[in-house]
Amino acid sequence: MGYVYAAVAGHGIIESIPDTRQLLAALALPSDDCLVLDPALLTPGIAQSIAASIAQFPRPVVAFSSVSTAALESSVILAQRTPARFVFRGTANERSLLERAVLLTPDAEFCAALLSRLDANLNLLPAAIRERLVAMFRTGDGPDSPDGLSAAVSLPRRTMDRYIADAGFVSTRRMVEATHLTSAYRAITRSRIPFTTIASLLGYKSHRTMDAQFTLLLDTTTGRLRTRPLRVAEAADILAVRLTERKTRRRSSAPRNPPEDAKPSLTLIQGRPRPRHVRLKASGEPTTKP
Amino acid sequence: MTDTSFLEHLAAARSDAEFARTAAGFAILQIYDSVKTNGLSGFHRDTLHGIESDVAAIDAAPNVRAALEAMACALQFWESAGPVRVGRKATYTSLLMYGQALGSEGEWAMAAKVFALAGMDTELDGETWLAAESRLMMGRAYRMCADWEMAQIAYHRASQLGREAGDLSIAFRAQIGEANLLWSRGNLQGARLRLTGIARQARRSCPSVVPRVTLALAGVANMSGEYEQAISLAFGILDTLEDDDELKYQTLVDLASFLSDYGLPAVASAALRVVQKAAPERHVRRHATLNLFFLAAHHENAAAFDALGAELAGERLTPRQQAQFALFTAQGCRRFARLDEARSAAQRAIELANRYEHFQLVFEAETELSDILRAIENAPSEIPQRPERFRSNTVAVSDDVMPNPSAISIDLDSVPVEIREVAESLDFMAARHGVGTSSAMGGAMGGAMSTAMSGAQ
Repeated sequence: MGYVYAAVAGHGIIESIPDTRQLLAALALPSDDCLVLDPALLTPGIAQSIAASIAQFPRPVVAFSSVSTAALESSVILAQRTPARFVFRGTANERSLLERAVLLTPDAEFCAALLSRLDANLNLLPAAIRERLVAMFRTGDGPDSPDGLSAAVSLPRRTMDRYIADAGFVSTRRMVEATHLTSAYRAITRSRIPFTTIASLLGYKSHRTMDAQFTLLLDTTTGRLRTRPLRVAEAADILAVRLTERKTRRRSSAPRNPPEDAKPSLTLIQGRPRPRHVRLKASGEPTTKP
Repeated sequence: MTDTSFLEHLAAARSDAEFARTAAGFAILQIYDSVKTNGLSGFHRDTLHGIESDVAAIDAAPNVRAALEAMACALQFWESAGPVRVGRKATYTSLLMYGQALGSEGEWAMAAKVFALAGMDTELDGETWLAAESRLMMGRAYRMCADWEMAQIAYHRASQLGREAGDLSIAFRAQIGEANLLWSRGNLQGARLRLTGIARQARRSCPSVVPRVTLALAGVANMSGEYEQAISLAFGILDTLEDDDELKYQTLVDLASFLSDYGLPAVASAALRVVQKAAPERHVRRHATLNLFFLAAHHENAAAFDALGAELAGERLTPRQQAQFALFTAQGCRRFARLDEARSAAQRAIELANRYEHFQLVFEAETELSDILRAIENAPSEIPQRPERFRSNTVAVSDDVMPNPSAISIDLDSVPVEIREVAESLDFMAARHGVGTSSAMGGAMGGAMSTAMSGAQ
């Protein structure tokens, strides 16, 4: 509990619920309060009940626990059925990770609205990338850079960029930036956490840098967003447009779920027509030219 | 590389217990490698269950055992939970726990390899935050091994990854590590400039890291002989660390070292007693006790020296700490004219330091032994005073025991008001924790210290 109090650091109110029955009763009511729980204290049955309640009344969930069999059994259930973000104890900087998890919790309604608008584009992506991106939007956690994302989905960066472009998205970087924005949206619109703190938690050097990103993606600054919040549907519309401003490219003839190591050069070896956006450099290495 | 490091350690193991705990770690890492490459199978599960029960029986420090158990448990969930991959996150976290546990036991070379492995795998797996954390820890481990080049590479990468992961505190901590490397290599001016720059940036974009930068600046000031500034800087941040136990006790240990260097061992003892009483982590308390034992050997009476010696004899010390314990015992015994005891302790210190290749300690213990032998030949005398203040070692003060006290205890009446206030506050803190205050110990340290502390009372 001490860790959570330190992480919240006066930016919110903490209510402790020591009894699982009380917890389940509280979860049976609609609320968007963030739920921080220790999976080690839950049986798989209770974890299932919590997951069912959260499916009915979505709210942000942070699972903070040490590594143990009991914790992992419940964690797996929560990971599969809730938008829980996981912080395992035992690292030197766990405090900063917990702080980010607790203070930057995605807005469930905003994420749902955005994902529904991006659904058609996301469906054009291979399953590995699609699932990963959806998880990043829902949990506010995940690879924080395009390179990290390509490593997480076990695809070369260039291949992943091509899939993202083919699905009609502007760029991988913009997708990753959008996940940062959605994770900060709730803190900006429904809390009084100072902007400098939010910028620091997101890894921006200054509030101004964060504002520049918000202006690019949401046509508004963080200050204006706090004083005059956009309607969720409106914000989701703007962000969806910013993510897909380029027209959707023709659907690739490649299979929907190609082998993970598929590279344009393989197409050449098989003697098929070379995709227009691939040009060979002198070294023989393919280069994407969108 | 990790394999080689573990195999070398196994070959050099000096006891069954040491062999067993190294072998358990090695076995878990082998399974980790296999699960990572081939996926989890029934064979892996059976082996992990076997190791879990073996780990419970081995003679290892609690944090080492906890880390090994966490690894064995997390690996069984390696591929669980789809895109969120909690099993992998848990495994990488427990790998970092194992590295930290090895470090806290003084096994920095093995710890560095474990961090390097974790850093590589997390980076390849897109776990940027964990990769940044691994590289930061790797930098520290290599710094403890005095491998400056590898430490530099690790810190630099940690800084890049920290920014990429959006965690500025990791990025700034890595930069502080790089600055610490500069002063470790003697470039005090460069380190100070670098730290000042980091402090300026941190105040703007990551205020939570400012106390760490300040503490590092205090270390540089101490190294430069600006003891009063070092004490003021370190003491100044204590108030801001109420909810950060790790840094609070690290600051107190560093402050004690600065006070000791300045010539106020009684005040240093007060700070260390607070750490010894209140620090949540056992290895931090043990570290403080060893520092106290060192101060007792040089400044206190035989009763305090013997009491601390008895306390340490029951502790699980790392090999380096064992050698230091023997050396400090020799120094204290010589001071109290127990020369036979001193001689055997010095010989033991030489043997231990040689066995574990801590050559600086070998040199110090040999010097001590020759002093003891000279004292046996002549009449027993007081321990000779060191001619001048010793400069700190090449590692951060709080990272290790610092046998570098000022030769002469100075009168508290002659120090600036700010330093007197520090002494009073530390006394108050010690009293609040129910441990002996520096004024209580002052009596044992001679008239000057009694006078000095009367004001504090």
